[in-house]
Amino acid sequence: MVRKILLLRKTNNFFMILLSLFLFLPFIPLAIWSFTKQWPWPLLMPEKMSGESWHYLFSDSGMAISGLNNSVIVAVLTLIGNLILGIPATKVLAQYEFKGKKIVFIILLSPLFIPYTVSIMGMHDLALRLEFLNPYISVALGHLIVTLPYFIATIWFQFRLMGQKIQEAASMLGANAWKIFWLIEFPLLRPSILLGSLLVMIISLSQYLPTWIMSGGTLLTLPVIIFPYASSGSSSLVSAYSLWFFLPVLLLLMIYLLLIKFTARRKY
Amino acid sequence: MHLKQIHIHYQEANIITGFELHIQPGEIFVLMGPSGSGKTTLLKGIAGLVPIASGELCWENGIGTVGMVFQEPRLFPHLTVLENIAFALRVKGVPRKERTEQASQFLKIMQLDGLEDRYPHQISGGQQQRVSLGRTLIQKPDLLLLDEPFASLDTPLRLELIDWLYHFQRENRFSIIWVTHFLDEAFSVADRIGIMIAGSLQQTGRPAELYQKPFSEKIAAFLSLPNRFTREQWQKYFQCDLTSLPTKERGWIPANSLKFIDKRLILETRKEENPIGFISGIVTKIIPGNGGFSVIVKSGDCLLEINSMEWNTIPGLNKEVTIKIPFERIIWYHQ
Repeated sequence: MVRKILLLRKTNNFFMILLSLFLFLPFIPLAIWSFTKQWPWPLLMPEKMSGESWHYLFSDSGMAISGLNNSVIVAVLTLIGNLILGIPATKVLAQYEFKGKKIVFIILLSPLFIPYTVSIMGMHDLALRLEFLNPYISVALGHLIVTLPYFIATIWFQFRLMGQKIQEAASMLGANAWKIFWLIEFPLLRPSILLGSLLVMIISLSQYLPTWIMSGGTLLTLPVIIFPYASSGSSSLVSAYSLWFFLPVLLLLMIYLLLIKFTARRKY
Repeated sequence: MHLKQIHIHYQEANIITGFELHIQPGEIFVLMGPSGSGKTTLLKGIAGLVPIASGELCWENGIGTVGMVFQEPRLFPHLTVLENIAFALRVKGVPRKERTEQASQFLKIMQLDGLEDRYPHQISGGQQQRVSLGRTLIQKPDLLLLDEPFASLDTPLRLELIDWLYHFQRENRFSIIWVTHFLDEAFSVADRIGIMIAGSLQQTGRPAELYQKPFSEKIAAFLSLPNRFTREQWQKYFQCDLTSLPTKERGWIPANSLKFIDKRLILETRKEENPIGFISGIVTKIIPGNGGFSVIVKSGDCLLEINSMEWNTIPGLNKEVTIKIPFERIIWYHQ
């Protein structure tokens, strides 16, 4: 029995290492490419290394900092939109029965399975109508359409699992709707809200088309900056931008893990 | 509290129809009834968790407070035992220090001291239900609604909690509407018992009255009263016309009123003043219990239950027996 458990543990460790390598290995050539303009096959390492791409990234025309700023502002606005719209909508969908519930659910999740081009065309129309809005807000609205289904799908199950019994109990103890949400539901939903928020921010950070369409190409977020370089085949610059782009994702992941650890200090 | 003509609908079905009830201060009213009869819906209606379609719920002295304990503890898993108990005070806005003090005192009353920092999953089912009771009782409700709160506990624990709650209620004199399907629980605590069938109250009365005067066969069947037969069936057993005697359409006789008798003594016994019936049958089952033995006898299509305290008077399985039925012990009721 003990031998079997040890073998199982070893197998698990092997697959964990394999998975880590699978995820980590692509970053090595990316890092190398960001320091060279040429790396022809079959050379193991490039002949000449330089920090030119990184230098360009942080120059005025590289816009690494402003691009990151714009991306983060839009992602935060998108997240706020998701929290404001997604939580009450999911609560209603998960816990209440009403006529047409399935249709509403399908509409809310439709961006997940409707072809992207259809959504984008609709978004283009929306952008024309919302031209008077601040570009950050109009881009965040576009991202909201893309990210809301992911947010809803992430927290829906937790709401469903919670059911209404615990609300009834809180209500019998004198809690009103707000206190039920704030003191009972929100703490129980926190892990899934955190995961949903992480997903929303990461998806928002990587949006190119909705950003470009909703702002008419005026709001330069990181994907909008990277795209022309990627299409021009500048591997070194694209690698540097990709690594730079990975920084906020890494930071978000770390914040998520810290928050999860902090909120789970109570072992319930 | 007075419930006047309460109607509760769910979708298009009438769950509660014309429910009338008056609960006295400090009274324990036990509500019983078959599954699906609407007991939980009624409690939820009183608690305000489901809307009342029509009717009136009024209190004699202004507005009363209601607390409810559910069948499952429904504790908040992210709060400790102490925080769960203090929850009602927290939503009322009682300062932290004060509510912690009050909740700590309540923990002692609830015999939960030492568990204040545990989370619900770290305590037993019985302790969880105690916490559930505690967090409701800390509100000092005028009326406590209990929806089978001890149904999932094992018998000793259930009896212990019933006894504790009964004494707590007698000391604090709040009213209780107590839903249970355990007859022993109901009869051990009730000031009055109400039997609810298909959304309306069929009979209310003191516990003994229900046995002595069941309103109908439905109620007698719900109470599982043994040896229930129609008057015609009893007439067959007594071999005489019972219509001239004070009888009703149906009658039941307690299992301990029936006695096994030697067949040879039948003629002698018939000389007694009151009519006496005799039934012959075969012993099909012997059930030992804490009050003696229950012997099930099959006579024709009917089953009879006879209680006996002593093992040596119990006939063996599949033995043919004769049972003596004293007429005066039969409790008559309407169909």
